[in-house]
Amino acid sequence: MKNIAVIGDNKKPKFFESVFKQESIEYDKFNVKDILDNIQKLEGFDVVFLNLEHNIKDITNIIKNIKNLDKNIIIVVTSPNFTGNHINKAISSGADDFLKQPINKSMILKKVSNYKTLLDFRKNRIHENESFYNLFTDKIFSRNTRFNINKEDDLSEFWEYFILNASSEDSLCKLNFIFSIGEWLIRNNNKFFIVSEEDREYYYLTFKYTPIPQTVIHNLIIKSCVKESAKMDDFRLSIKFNKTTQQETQLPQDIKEEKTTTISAKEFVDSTPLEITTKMDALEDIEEALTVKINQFSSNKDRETLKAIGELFKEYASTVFLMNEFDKLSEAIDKIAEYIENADEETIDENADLIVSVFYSLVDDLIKWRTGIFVNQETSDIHYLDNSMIASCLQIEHLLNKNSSNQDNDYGDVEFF
Amino acid sequence: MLKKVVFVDDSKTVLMTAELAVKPLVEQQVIDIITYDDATKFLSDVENDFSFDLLITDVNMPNINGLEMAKQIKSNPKFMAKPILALTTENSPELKTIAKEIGLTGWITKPFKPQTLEKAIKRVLRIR
Repeated sequence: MKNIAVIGDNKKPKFFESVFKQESIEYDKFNVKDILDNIQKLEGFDVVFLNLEHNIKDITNIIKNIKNLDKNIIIVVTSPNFTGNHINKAISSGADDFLKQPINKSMILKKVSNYKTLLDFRKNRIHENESFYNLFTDKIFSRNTRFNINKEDDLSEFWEYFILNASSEDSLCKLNFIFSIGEWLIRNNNKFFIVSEEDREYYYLTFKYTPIPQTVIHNLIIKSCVKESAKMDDFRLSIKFNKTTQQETQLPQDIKEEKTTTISAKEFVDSTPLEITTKMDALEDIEEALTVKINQFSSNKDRETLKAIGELFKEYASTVFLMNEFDKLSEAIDKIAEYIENADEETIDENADLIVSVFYSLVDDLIKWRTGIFVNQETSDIHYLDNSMIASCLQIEHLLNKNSSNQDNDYGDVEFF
Repeated sequence: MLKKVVFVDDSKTVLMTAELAVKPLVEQQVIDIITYDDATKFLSDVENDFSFDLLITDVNMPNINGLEMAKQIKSNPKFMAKPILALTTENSPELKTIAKEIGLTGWITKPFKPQTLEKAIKRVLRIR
């Protein structure tokens, strides 16, 4: 059997792990933090089971990092807390499969067998191909697509076929370059066709024409966006395209994250599945646990209780993240947890009372946010707390690090009208 | 005489950090601070003869937008001339234009430096 890695964030053994043990299928187990710190640990693995309960918001990062390490690793995602939105996020980040829980034993074994077949196929399907056209490699898939170009309409058909899949500005530029070369060849009555071939990494589009002086094409290439990805001889011109899929990260950050419409609590609750809104109960439980721990910290001022508070904030952030609409708020709460985790002893000792007050007010804000949206449904904009919470985090950090360089940060502009 | 400064913000954390920021002015007995984490409560108090010298308000709040609240305050002849500052994470020119039209005195962006808030209050209330 291939190498299997199981990444989890829960100490309890999971069902499919016990299935592996029963069936003597070897696997290595890692926790999420290990992998986030050092993705290289997954080098050489064929299948990765990503089983998350708490760190769901890290899923996109983890998947992307694994795929960057080796795009042939099969990533299988499974979580009891997943919603349709998370599955979509995971799949669009590069996950190969999703196992809905509860999972039964035969399903796991069937899946593992399928992955084995898929891996064998992936490893063996690329072979030296005698009838290749491109000038980059003969190790291509056996399939190809040929476009016979006799007139401009044919060229337009070719262009239309690929333009829909152009995944970046670079691909678009290369396709336009090919179109221009095609137009030039048609004008010069050259008989030619274009062949599309591919391997795991690239697509290759190759012109096959009647011999032309290389200098003409060469001069066009060096002034264009294809200069780093083109090869030519007397009969052919090949251009290679990265096979990267269109990622939302290509959008400018501010456009991607901007939430332009205002959603009221009532609209949100009405349009959100019950399975998501009921996660609010979990938030209420965490709020109660937080209050208990803050009370405890208020009298003990000990590091262990502070750590427990940090973990509860982290859990709160993860649950908020599951509500689909509140990534920013989740991030802000997570920042607080992170700050608590990394704060030095001196800062904590010097500011213990202030920290207690901050915690109480943060929990108050969160309770008000939760009840305003999910209980009373009276909030006119469900995102009202998002930016405010981020600002509060920075404000708190500033307060606690009075002597640090943060004081010189260029924020807090005032403008008089 | 103590100047009465009112902070309205849905976030208790922001109110707490604002109070800490202006603590020196309170300790010097220059200003008195009153905080509201519920804008509707503040509006109802204002209708019942509550008064202030400076209002500092958030913009994005769950029940009423801070600019809408400022508009309501300014429509009362008693408060027409009272200075109002926005204290918000928002920074869009469109909102600032609306704020100017309503008659706000200024705009402070969050997160804020304590000194910035202190200076802004001193300037608006002409405190030396």
